[in-house]
Amino acid sequence: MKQQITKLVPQLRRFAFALTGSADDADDLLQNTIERLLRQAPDAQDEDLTKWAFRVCKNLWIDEYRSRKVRSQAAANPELSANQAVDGERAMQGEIALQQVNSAMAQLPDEQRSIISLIALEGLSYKEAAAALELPIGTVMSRLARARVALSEFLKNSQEEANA
Amino acid sequence: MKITDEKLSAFLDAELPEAEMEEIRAQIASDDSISARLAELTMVDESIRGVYSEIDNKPLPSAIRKMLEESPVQQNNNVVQMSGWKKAVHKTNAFLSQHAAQAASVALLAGFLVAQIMPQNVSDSPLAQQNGYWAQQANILETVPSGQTETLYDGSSVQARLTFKDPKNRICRQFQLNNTNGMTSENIACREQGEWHKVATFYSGQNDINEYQTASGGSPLLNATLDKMIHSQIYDRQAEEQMIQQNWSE
Repeated sequence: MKQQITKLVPQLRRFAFALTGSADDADDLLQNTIERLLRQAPDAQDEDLTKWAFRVCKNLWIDEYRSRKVRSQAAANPELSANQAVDGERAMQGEIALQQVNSAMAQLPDEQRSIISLIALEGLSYKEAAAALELPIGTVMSRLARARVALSEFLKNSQEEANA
Repeated sequence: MKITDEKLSAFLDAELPEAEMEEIRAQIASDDSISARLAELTMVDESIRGVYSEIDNKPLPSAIRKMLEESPVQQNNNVVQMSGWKKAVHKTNAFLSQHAAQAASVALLAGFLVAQIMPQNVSDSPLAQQNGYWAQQANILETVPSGQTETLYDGSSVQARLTFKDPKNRICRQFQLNNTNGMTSENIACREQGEWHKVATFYSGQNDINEYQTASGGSPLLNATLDKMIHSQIYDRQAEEQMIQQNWSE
């Protein structure tokens, strides 16, 4: 089981980052997800475990992290960490991009944020994402499109504001 | 067919029936507004991937690594293969001799094998293949022999370092990615059904990893994983070039 979960860690971690918008929160969420998986995961095939893992991660995010929003406040006011200070300018650019995308993602309903993270970031098929989130494929397809359009508008506007 | 955002979005993911995919391709070719709209939606995915994939470059917290640590890996006949591949590397690829130098400590370090195995799929969508970050790396693996450094569009550089066959008889390549933040990762990707899939990533030059580094500076996790993965053949430069010419078919 640990071995199966280990294989999923990079995917789950990026998913958690896309949901929380903060690397520290993402690792907290990842840790709680793994704890839950180790405690509760059924003896499942890899495919089932993947769906289950994403679902657990998303539910924990909705239950705990969305309500707490403690660290995400910090993400809105980023301070350079020691690592990032190595290349200040580039790190700043990375932070600005993160803030921009976080602000855009924050506009989305939870379900849309989960869907676009699974598909655009993790490369899941619509069928896989539908199974992970327990939604019909048609719903995944339409919500994904709405999420992409909303994000595109938001990013375009913030880019225009930045250039103004 | 009216091309809605929903259709374009599904086109981007290659999730439409082929007839509709074809129709949209035709309309993209003839209608600039549709191709511009598609580009806007593609940029969304690029932004999300660009920003949130950055966490791959941050070492996994040790608390999480410990949760997932297994008891030390049993050594089996891999040990024999290990010495074999290291000899082959040493002989055939001078630029890789640093790996051969790391041999001694590998067996001891197998217990730290919390490899970050990541089954990633190169998206089937044509645009994603052109634009995707991974697609660019996959293209380098497909076309460039080991030891030659190539630059990605964002300035990151990729160098394939070793080509071998794994126990499933897949051709796999180890490669180094130096991203523009100064982070370095060693990766392993294997070729299946004509596509490269990344199966493992290891970070180096960071504190979490440094504590386990061998004297020559390589990641023991990488070496331990290579020991488990390298099954038989190591490709020398000539064999690599031949495989590239043959599009990796044998």
